[in-house]
Amino acid sequence: MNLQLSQQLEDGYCLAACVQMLMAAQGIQREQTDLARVMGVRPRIGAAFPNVLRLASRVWRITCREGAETDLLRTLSDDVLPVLAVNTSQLPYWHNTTQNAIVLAEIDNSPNQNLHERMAVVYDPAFSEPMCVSMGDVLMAWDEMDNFYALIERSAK
Amino acid sequence: MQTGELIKRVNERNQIPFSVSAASQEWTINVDAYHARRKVSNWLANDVAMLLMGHTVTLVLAERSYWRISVVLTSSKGIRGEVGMVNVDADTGEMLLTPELADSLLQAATALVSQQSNHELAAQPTT
Repeated sequence: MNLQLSQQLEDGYCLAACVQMLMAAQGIQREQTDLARVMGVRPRIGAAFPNVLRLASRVWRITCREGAETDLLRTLSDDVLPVLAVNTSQLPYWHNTTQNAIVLAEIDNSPNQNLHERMAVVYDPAFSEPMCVSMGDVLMAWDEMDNFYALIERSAK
Repeated sequence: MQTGELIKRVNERNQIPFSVSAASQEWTINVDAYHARRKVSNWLANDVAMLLMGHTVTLVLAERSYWRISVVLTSSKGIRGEVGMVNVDADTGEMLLTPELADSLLQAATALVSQQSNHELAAQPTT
């Protein structure tokens, strides 16, 4: 999947920016403000994470649920990049604590290494560049949010 | 024992459950402050709005014991301000929610954003 980072237009648009990235990577360009409107995002306040389900349509299959490490590994191996709900207090590149959505784009391919020790690339819409961070940190940040994740899959072409 | 000292001792405890006695009443604490706050933050993220989070935690010993969690509106730059509170039963872990609570938190958050936006506009230099 050819992922390009979309920065959030302002605080509260993290989920819309993640969805925008994933839809664009699957060939459909959507305005972040339009996605935010459908999900009921309030500027500088955000929306409830499961509101991503409001984007489900004949074109888009949306999944939102609690998961485990194995779910992340499986979706990545299927080239479906998950959107993770995270608490930023566990992410070393953050200096403030908030609740955020990020796209988990890649985990380094070291199958003999413990997952927590492997490095991951995340696309965090609050930053202008993809971030390289340990999976241990990502998993702790995700665990703080009860391991909720979303999948955005194009179901028809 | 003074109430302040009681709360300090309770907050310092790491082992759950435990009991607190004062003035001929006894309370059982089965849920610690961390899990009470986390429960509130997850409810906020999944049912209200992601930038609302549980923040300070106070143990209230009344007819029942409960954790009082302040709710703050956060941003990528830090905490914007407090918008309300949620109580969690310290014995059962149940959040004490009312039907209007989510709406009232969102209304307070909207008012805070509006107030801060007005201040930002007022602070902008005129040309």
